[in-house]
Amino acid sequence: MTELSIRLLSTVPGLPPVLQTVHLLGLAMLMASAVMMDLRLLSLAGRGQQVQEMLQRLFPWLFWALPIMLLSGLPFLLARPQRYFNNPVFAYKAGFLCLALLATLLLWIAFRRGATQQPAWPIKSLALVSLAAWLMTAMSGRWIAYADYLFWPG
Amino acid sequence: MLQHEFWLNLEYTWLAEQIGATWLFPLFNSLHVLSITLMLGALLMLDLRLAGFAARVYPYRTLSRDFLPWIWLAFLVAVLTGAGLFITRASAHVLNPAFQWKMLLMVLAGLNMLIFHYRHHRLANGWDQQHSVRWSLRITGMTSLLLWAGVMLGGRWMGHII
Repeated sequence: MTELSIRLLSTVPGLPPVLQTVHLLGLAMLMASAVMMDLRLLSLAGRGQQVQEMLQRLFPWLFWALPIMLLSGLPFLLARPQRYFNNPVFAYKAGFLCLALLATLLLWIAFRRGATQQPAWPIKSLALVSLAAWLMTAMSGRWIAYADYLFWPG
Repeated sequence: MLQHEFWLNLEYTWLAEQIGATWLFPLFNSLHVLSITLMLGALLMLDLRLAGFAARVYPYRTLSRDFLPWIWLAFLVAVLTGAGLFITRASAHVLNPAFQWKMLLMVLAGLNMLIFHYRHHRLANGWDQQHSVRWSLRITGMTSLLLWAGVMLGGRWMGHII
């Protein structure tokens, strides 16, 4: 797998930037869906739209973005595993991602049970956790390339 | 003009040196990524409604009232952080074909927005109440998405050219 990824990324012209752009466009789908529904649950955005309808409409975008993110990100991970597994920022990204996925899954379960209709404080705090965790996931993704600013100063 | 020393002088300003030499650079870079994904994702929701592919239960204007302030806020953050990143290597960026494409596509996206703005203001109130919007406006919605995806590609490609 490592050899295949290295060969693809180094021989197909323009593949790395194209794949990274797919990763960014997938992130746009994912982040906007997650952030907008979290802000809606917190009554900070999208107040012209009904909560249940909005979640119904946005959850598929969020979930479909996940395989896109995985497929466009995995080749880079497979090509240079040591670059990522030895990088503390990558560990942060993985941690924030797990937290974000967990919070999103819980929100989805609450949505399926109709508990998001009139969001009470447990749902609102879950939305806040999801919001923060997704923002930190995306931020730390970009900081992987800049780990030395944080961990090896000088 | 692109060879002018103005661009080089930008790199020697106090601000550019502060950003380039500290953790401000990765901070600006990650905030840039965050704001462009939020902007484009929210624009996707709005443009898909305009193109008639999603959220058709609402009039276009309900969605634009909800999303446009967030889109403009994200755009403002993206422009400020982008300018901060740009001045650290201005003289190289202006000669970078990927950067030039990115700027061209952004201008076209702006023109596309103006065309939409001009055309829908001439229509009677309630143009967005109908189930499907007229074709000329739907096309501006789809064009906007294509142009902004191109802006993303240009921006990401910049880093592979230098």
